[in-house]
Amino acid sequence: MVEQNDTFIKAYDDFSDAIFRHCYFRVGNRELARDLMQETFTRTWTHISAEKPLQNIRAFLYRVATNLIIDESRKKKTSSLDGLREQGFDPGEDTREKLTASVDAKIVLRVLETLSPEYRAVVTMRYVDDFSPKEIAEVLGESENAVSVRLHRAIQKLREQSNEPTHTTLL
Amino acid sequence: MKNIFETIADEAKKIRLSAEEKSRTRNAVLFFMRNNPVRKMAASSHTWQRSYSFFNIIQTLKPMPIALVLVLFIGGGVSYAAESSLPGDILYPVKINMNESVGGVLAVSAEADVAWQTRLIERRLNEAEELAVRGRLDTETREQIESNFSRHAERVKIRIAAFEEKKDFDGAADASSNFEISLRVHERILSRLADNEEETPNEVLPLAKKIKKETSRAIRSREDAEANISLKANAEVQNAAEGKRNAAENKIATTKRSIDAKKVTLGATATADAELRLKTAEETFAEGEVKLSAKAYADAFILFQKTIRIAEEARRLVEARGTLDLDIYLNGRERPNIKDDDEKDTNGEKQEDNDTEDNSSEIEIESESETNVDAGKGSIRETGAIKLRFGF
Repeated sequence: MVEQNDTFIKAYDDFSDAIFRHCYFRVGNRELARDLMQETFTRTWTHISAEKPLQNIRAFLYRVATNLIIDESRKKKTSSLDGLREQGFDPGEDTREKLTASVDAKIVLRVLETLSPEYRAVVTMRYVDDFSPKEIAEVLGESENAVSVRLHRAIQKLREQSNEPTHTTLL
Repeated sequence: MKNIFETIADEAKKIRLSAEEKSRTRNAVLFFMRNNPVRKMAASSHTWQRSYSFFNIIQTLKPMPIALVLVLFIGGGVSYAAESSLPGDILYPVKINMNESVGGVLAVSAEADVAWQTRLIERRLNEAEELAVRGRLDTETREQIESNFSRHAERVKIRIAAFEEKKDFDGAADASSNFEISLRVHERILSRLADNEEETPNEVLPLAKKIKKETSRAIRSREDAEANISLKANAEVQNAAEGKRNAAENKIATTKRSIDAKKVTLGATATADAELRLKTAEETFAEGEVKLSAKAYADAFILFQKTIRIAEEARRLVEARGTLDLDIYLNGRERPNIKDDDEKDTNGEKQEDNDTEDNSSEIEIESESETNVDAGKGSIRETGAIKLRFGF
């Protein structure tokens, strides 16, 4: 029992930033990303405390986070795509340093928002979280092949976007 | 122009939680865990652990700031941010005066108080080590830490003496064993840091020496307590021995997990050494089991305590490796550097670093050329491999 507590809190220490970052780039809002991150961990703990099997905690955390993000986007009538454009950004309480980071991150978010949620998910996991296609497949519960194909298409889409004149407006 | 993927990867890394956000959420998660436990915590048969169970719950969720205790029982008025502050930081007085006074308030029983005082010692020494690693340990700070340390150490010793007066030898043995573990671990770390100091005046060495002195005293105190236990009626010790057995078993499991978790950062040699240590703990445990079935409860108790000390020290040094980024191995012989010139051993029979335990229980610290020290005034590197050894 003590062991599970220790291991789990260690997982928090190790992965909270990464999960937060992942949520941030998927939902574009710092407060929301934090809440989603927290809920990812509490839900994972519920799973653990019910003594259900858990092979790879990192993959599991991302899976929970992904599901929460999907639920979140369904909740809003407008998808996060339009929501972002309407609400503008909410980077959170800004110290000067955070401001710089969020200005650059805005570019990334603007780019990502041009993608559909499915494409955005794989691109985020690939480039923000450094997951391999195999790891992404594990998180999403799909075949590695399906993930590779989707990733390839998403990257192509991004390339198209970046070549278009509209890309310069993002800078 | 950067390609879009590089941009995404680079900029993405800049987004992270602030320390406060991270710790606030951490507390919330801990709170959730506490309210949704896996199963009821097994009650220990030893009275010390029974009354200490409150602190046990809190402390096993480590490193848990005292702030959460307040959230649970008092409801605020503590600074999360202050918890990680160091001497010299603006929030440090808040940590000492506000956060820690609450912990003190909650430590009502004698056992809880001695545990709390030992915890305070831990906190002060952790601060010293963090400062040393950052190159911020100056004379004034070091003296302040020393005096705080002395104060808490005195309290611990008074408590231990009180246990002995009341003939609570189990309590005395427990408290002195824990005290000993804490001191030993920090002595190792400080000695290691003392050798690292090239740039700042060597403040760590005096502190390390002082701790070393206290460690020897703690060891003697623990041995005395154990001797007293052996004098007790066998039947009385049975409960304590069985409780200790469970604690030892848990400790071995926890240590095993720590080593497994840290394997990657430790590297092959350090892992092997830690595992060797763990093996020693397991062997000692087996010896204890034998004594237990032979109904030699006092011997069993002592062996299980020894198991806990060995395993816990291995575990803490493995953890310290991660936090302070030091290479601290576990096996070796006498350490030549810390001179015991000012130590007048009144008994005379024992040498300072003599191994009082059966197995070779000494520590070797090897520094490798790639050792980096965190942040602070530039990096500190060791050239070549310097092997420093000293005994338990």
